[in-house]
Amino acid sequence: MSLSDPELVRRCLAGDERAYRELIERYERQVYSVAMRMLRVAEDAEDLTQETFVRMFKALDRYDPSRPFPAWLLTIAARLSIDQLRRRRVKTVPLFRSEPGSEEEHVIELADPGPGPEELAERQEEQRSADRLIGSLPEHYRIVVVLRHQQGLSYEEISEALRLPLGTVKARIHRARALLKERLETGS
Amino acid sequence: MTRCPENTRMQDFLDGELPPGEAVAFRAHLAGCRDCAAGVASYQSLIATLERAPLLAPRPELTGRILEQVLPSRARRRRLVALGWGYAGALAACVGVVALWALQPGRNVLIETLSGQLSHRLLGAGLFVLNMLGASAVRLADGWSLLHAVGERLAPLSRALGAVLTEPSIVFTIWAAAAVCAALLWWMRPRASAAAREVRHVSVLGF
Repeated sequence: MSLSDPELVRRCLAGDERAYRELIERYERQVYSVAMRMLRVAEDAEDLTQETFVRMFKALDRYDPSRPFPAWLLTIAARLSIDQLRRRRVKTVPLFRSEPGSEEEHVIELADPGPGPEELAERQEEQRSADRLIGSLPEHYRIVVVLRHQQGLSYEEISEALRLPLGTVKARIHRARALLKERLETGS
Repeated sequence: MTRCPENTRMQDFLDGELPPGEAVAFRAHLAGCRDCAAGVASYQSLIATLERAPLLAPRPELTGRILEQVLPSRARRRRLVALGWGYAGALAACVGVVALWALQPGRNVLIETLSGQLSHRLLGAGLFVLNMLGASAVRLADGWSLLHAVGERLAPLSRALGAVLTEPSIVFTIWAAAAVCAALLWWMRPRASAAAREVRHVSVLGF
């Protein structure tokens, strides 16, 4: 039976090293997905994932168990992503790199490559279209869309994570979606 | 083309942000407004596409990299390794300084004298120990206790040590070294007590 997040946190604080591993394995992909979709460079996303966990474990004694643990962790990841983007202009590298002279695109490896070839191709196509859509957004819209629609955070949690007024978060999500809808409709 | 004035409420409706009465009214409006109905369907499709995007997986070695950074035992080991490198660096620096000093012109005679004295003293110390052991054995054989023989042999040494310890500068140096050692040991202590404190803190929060 898998342990609850608060129980894992308690065990980590007591020095149980297996709990450290389990907490990392449970949330590594979520953090990496946020980092990857914001920074769009695999090495940078891995560094940011590592930094997020290091900071999370350092601040673990300040974790408020009344809040959902993933929201707290993703808050750290989101803030670090924004800081990283502010510190330097990230070179825009698409998630799907076209090989020179080839029409095929290199697809970032899926988290769960279990299904058969057809389903896998369908999933990859979905991933491509979702990532193209998200990648086409400006950074300040991209982060709210990632947190809302890919990580399932509420408006309030996003507002707290990004230190933005609730109204600003709502407005950004609405504008981002309107922009994406328009792009889908015009095919641009 | 003129847009329906209700158009601006589509996203609030989809997010469940409209008050119940307004949501019912908007739903009724959708039945009669093709523009809004198409817009809602379009947003629903977009949101479904965004939410279907799978989680991305990092390379498997990332977990190990993170654990290396965060596990308390590995952090202690890193500190000890850093301390070891510090000592090694300091030793290398000392050896380097001594070597540089020794390589200065005119040092050969002094080094030879010093090394000669050192060899002489080491030889003397070795002979003293052998002599003491031999004498102790003889006295033990004569009926004296080994402890008494050793004590008698060490008496000059303890008297000399006592005389040295009356020097304030030497006493101060010894106490300073002891304090540094104690501080170092305290810094290298296991962090279990801190973890226990944190656990108590968490339990107060309601676990």
